[in-house]
Amino acid sequence: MDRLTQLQDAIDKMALLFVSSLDHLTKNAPLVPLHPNVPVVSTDHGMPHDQVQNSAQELALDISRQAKELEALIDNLPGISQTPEAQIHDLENLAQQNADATVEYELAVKEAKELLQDVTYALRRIAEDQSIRS
Amino acid sequence: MEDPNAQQQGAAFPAPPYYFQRYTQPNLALLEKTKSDPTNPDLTTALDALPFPVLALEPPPPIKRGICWMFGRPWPVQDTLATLSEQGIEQLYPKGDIDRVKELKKLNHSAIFNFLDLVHVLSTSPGEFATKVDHIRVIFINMHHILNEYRPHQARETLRLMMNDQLDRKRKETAALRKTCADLRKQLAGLRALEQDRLVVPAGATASENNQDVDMAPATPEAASTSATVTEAGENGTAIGGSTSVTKKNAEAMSRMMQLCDTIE
Repeated sequence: MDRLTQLQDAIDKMALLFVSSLDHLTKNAPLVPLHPNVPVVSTDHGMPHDQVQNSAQELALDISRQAKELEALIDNLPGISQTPEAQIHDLENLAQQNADATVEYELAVKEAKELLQDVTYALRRIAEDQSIRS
Repeated sequence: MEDPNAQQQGAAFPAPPYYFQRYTQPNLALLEKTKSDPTNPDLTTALDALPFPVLALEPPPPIKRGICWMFGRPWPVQDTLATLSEQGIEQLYPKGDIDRVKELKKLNHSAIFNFLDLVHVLSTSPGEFATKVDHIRVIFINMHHILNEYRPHQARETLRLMMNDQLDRKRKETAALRKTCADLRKQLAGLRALEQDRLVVPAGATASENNQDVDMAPATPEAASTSATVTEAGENGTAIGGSTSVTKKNAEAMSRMMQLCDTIE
């Protein structure tokens, strides 16, 4: 797949990682008491504290890994070596060459067809005479 | 007659636009007359009777600028990439010629730092997240815009490569064809030379052979190569004696020539 598309996909993946990491943490965080006198009662919300820490670590790792990948992809970007005018000039040149090559090709095809006709005629004569002989 | 709100309940396909009814033979004749002679007073009375301007029967000219609507979406007539300021987004990298690799890397780093800021804001004063989110959005849009500017260049390069490919393929095919033709001609010439030797030997053959030889003889002095080769091959055929070795050689020659014919086809 071409490098530009890969880069664009990598950028989108990065944004997705941002969103999903925040989402994950806020959804699964355990409850915290608002006031020291009012303890937390419900226990089936969210995940235990150390699990949240672990996932936070993993997510941070993922984000930094994606950033590194992005950098590597950016380094592999080809530069723009030709101006658009030079490119268009090349394309016109190529179009002209293509037209010429087509003309030559059609000429060769015509020659080959004529030769084919002659050869089949010759073969037919030979076959006829052979059948006459035998 | 011209009811734009015609009933379309239950129809499988939408009705054609109502102005198809305007294209009657008399109306078209009026159009032709108006185009050729616009100041004729006889026409004006007829033209006033029509509920629409007669020049509306002409097809509309193609759209050259701006936006056209297709399948419910607007498409620009000239397909260019809108600059960031046109889209209303702040451009974070400098204008003009830039080193894209460096700018993209800078943007990459800024994205990460802004995300860090966002997390910080969320943990301290969550209500103020909107500005940071907006910053991150602008950074990403800038990154994508830099990449989009590559695309036309890439398209032209791809076109160039494809045309090169086509050119190479055509040239190769032409060369292969010419080579096969040359081979075939050599075979024919070889066959002719082979049978010329045999032509001398069975000279005292049957009368039918002689007749055929006579038929062939006036044809051979022809200068044209193709018919000459054909008739000589014919001669070779008629000059064959009863010898089995000659027929065998001929069969070989036949099979070789048929193979070459196949490659041509």
